[in-house]
Amino acid sequence: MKSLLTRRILICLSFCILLLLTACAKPYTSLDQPTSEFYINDAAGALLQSTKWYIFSNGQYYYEDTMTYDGIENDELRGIQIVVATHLGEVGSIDTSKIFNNYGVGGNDLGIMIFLFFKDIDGEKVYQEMVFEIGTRMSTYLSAFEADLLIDAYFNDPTLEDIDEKIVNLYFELIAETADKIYDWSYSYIEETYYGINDFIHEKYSLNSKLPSEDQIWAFTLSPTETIIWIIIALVFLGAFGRFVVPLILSMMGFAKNSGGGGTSSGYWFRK
Amino acid sequence: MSGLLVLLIVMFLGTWISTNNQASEYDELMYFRKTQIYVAIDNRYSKVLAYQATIQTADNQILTQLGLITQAREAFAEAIENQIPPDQLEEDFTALESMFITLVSYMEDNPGNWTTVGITSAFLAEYNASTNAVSFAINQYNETVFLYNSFLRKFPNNMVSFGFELKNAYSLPSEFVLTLPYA
Repeated sequence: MKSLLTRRILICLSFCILLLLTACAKPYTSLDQPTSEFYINDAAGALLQSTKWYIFSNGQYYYEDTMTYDGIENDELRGIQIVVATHLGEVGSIDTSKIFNNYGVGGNDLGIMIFLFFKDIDGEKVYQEMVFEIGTRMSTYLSAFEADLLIDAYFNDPTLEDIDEKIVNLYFELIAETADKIYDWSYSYIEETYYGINDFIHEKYSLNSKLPSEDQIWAFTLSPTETIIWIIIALVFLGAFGRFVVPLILSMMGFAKNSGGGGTSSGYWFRK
Repeated sequence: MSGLLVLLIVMFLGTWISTNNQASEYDELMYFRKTQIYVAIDNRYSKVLAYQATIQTADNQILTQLGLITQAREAFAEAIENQIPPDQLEEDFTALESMFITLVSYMEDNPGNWTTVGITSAFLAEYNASTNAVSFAINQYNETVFLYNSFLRKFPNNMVSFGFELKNAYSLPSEFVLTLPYA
């Protein structure tokens, strides 16, 4: 009789946990936390898949390049991260400096974060304006003045068709500009190593696969170790019923997770 | 009775030391954040002045070239009017053409510097970003002042916080808070 009661309590408890977890299930639609890709957070859902992949690939490789490149003598100049985020709403509706600092963009404060603001007009996301936030140390290498000129030249380039081409082009040129200023890397090296606007135009509509975080139904991810621990906890506490929770826990596991380098922003941003 | 007295003294000392340490930490943080305000203000002025100098240099370059073009154009027009020999006319024409080429070369070499709209927009971006940085530093400082003052006002901290005084939030001196001419 007692064991039957315990079993019923455990089953009820399991249902409560399942209900709670299901209530938490939501894909990334806000800028509250970075995605597992880190370099791109299309919370507005306004960018093409190819755009997200290009930013993700270039951003991740650039960070790794600056962390491992032998020619950088000063270790305090390693770890540049450039993050792009989209938001459906007005400038001022989100605290961009707070988001930058929460994400910790850039190692050694060498971060840049670009926020693209969109407006929903008849179901279509229309680009409105940009907030360009520069990390504390990065601001000594890239001023708002120079960033504004770069935006004019490479984002507002009239030959570019849409917001996707504009942001990919600006992202590439930001890599080239910061690499030149901080590491003295040549433009030809950047062209050989990173994806540029011409590569993008070829794959713009053919690259449609989802990013890892977009396959994730949860707003958080568990590392493989955390996943194993949770499975053990479920099996220990729920007994045989725990096996029903295992697939759910597995769906929370994120396989690759990038994170910020701990960089800070001192509120040095401008809108454009 | 003496045991109670000792207990009270120990409690007082414990509270006093803990309050003192915490208030000192806030004090240090406030000092640091106030310094950050001055750093942000200093950066703002140095950057804005540097770019003002850039604009002036660019302006001067263009104005000099435009002045030379005007002179050459006047000389050319005068030469035509006075019906001077073709050789002389050719010289004036070459001078005029050379000035145009110099100006175009300058513009090509400095694409970001010659467009008035571009340079003004970049200057405003710098002005806004450095102003935002100052506001951010002031907000950070004022948040710390708020925490510090709240801490000092709480019981029993208000009984034992000897030597610590409430601080005022930072605000820019009135001469800096001016309405812009076009506002």
